[in-house]
Amino acid sequence: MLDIKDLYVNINKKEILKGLNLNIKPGEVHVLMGINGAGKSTLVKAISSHYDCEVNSGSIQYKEKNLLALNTTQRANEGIFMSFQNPVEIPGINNMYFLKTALNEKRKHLNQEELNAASFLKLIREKMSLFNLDEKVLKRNLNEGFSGGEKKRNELLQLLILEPDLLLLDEIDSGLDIDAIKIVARGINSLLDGKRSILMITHYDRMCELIKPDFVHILSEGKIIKTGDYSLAVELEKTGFEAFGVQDETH
Amino acid sequence: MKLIDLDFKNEVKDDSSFKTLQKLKLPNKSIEEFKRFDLSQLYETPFNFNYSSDVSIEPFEYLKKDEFYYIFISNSQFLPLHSNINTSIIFQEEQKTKTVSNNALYHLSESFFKERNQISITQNLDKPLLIINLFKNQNSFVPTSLNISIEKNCNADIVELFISQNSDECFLNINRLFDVKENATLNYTKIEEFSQYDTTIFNCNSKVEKDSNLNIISLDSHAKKSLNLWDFFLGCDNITLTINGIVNIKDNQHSANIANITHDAKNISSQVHIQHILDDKSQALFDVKTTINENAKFAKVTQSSKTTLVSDDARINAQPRLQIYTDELEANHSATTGAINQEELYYLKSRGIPSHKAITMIIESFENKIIDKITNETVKHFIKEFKGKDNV
Repeated sequence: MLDIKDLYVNINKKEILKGLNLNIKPGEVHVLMGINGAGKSTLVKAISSHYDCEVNSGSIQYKEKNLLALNTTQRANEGIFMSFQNPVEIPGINNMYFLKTALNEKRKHLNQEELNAASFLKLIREKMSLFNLDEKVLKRNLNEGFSGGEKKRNELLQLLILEPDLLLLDEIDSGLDIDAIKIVARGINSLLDGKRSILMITHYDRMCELIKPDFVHILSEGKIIKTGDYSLAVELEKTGFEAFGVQDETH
Repeated sequence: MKLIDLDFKNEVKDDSSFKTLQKLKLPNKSIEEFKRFDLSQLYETPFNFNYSSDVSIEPFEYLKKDEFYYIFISNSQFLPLHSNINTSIIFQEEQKTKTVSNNALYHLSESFFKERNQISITQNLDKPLLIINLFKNQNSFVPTSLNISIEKNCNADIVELFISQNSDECFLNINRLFDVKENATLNYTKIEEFSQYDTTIFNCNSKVEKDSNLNIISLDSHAKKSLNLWDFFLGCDNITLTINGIVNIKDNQHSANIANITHDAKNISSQVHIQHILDDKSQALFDVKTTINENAKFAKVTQSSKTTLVSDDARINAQPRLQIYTDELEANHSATTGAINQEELYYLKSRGIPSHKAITMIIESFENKIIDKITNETVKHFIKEFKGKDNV
């Protein structure tokens, strides 16, 4: 699904990723852990072509395509979805209008017929009822005045509607209470059909417990320094990063 | 015939206005506000001064909505057969009284009308009034004039649509006088759907009595050149005036909002907010002068120009100006300019929306923010529907 080789990425002319390698196969769930500034968010941003990122060298193959040759929109429509740590508020854009536009753009890209208003409403109501999501968010403007939890639930709603192939989840659990984490985890698990893959950034073991990763990676200074299975996340929770030789200079 | 020499005496129906026009002269680059919005080429364009009121309303039947009272006006002629007004809304031609205005372009239109068209709202309206102005001309100068009067203690929501099917170059010179009586409120929304051939000038004059509110929303687009001239002398206590405008233009379109607001009594609030979205080689002018006289204590004044430049070639000239002759007031003015918010654009693109469509959505969001200020839900819904927004 995704094959990253020797990736070097700058943000604001500062080198953040320094020769990163990562391979994700269809159906796999990978978790990235690391101290602040290790390069976790930069990696997911680089995969989804964020305007801050400048790829200096290396390659990213996605579904056997050169991902670096595709722009942000094309990557999204090819099935890459990045869940934002802090989703931006856009007053004046109705949430339902946004969701319908995004879904129909994807359908157009896949040569599928666009959904009309009635079919779209039926679809969105089905998804929302499955995960106890409040329909009121549809009538509001995109993330405007949403609490942290509402923003994350709105990201989940987009995931459920757009049904991406590769989910990049940047701290989707932050700012959520335990019940909301369970809903989000249930939503994400519902998408795992053995073909979709996840690359998830989290600081907390709770999310790992609910979405059982196949691989856990520790990222430090722009490189993956250790890879293991779920037990690595459990060990990290007990010992902290220092036990793996990671120094947090911000402390 | 050209306007440059005011050589249209045979067409004049109001000598008093024409004399005032001769005295004031058509504004040109020698006047500060018009230095960056030159109209001289317009005055030299030969226009047809005869225009027909025979515009088919058939394509606009869909605007006859039960949730509104509606009035159709075709090239300045009221069409009673296509209107559904009740006894609280009186449409009449009345004898003119002299209007004090230093705006020569206002007197230009008045020169062509012997009597004045007036809509009077005499009681609170149970639903909003929709005024639909239709224009269909070729290479014409089209003056229009309408007074909107809100009687004492009345509230009214009025939406005025200007829809043009003009071809060749046309000059629409539109006069509106808002006569808001004591303790009355007028919420007025102006929506322009002019043609690419039109130059439009909206001359807004007012008589506003004490304890009254005048809230204006102005949505401009499509005309080749459009100018709003806001002229408000606020001479009674406790008046609130707000103007919220959107200028959304592209190609080589020019747009201007020139306002002259005078506070001449106590406890008056005036706010002017214009949001510009400028693409391609379009240009906009924001020139708002508010004068707060010595007797205008406890005034609240806001002037704000916000501009989003979608292209590198678009230009904004923003001049918020305050002339303050009193100490007891709150006043602020601002002019900001920026590009499309990269973070917003990226968010939309990251959900598969192509760049051009994402930019359109962000531009629409600016308009929606202004439309969302409308308190009447029927009006808000109508405008969004008319402008094709939030189509789900």
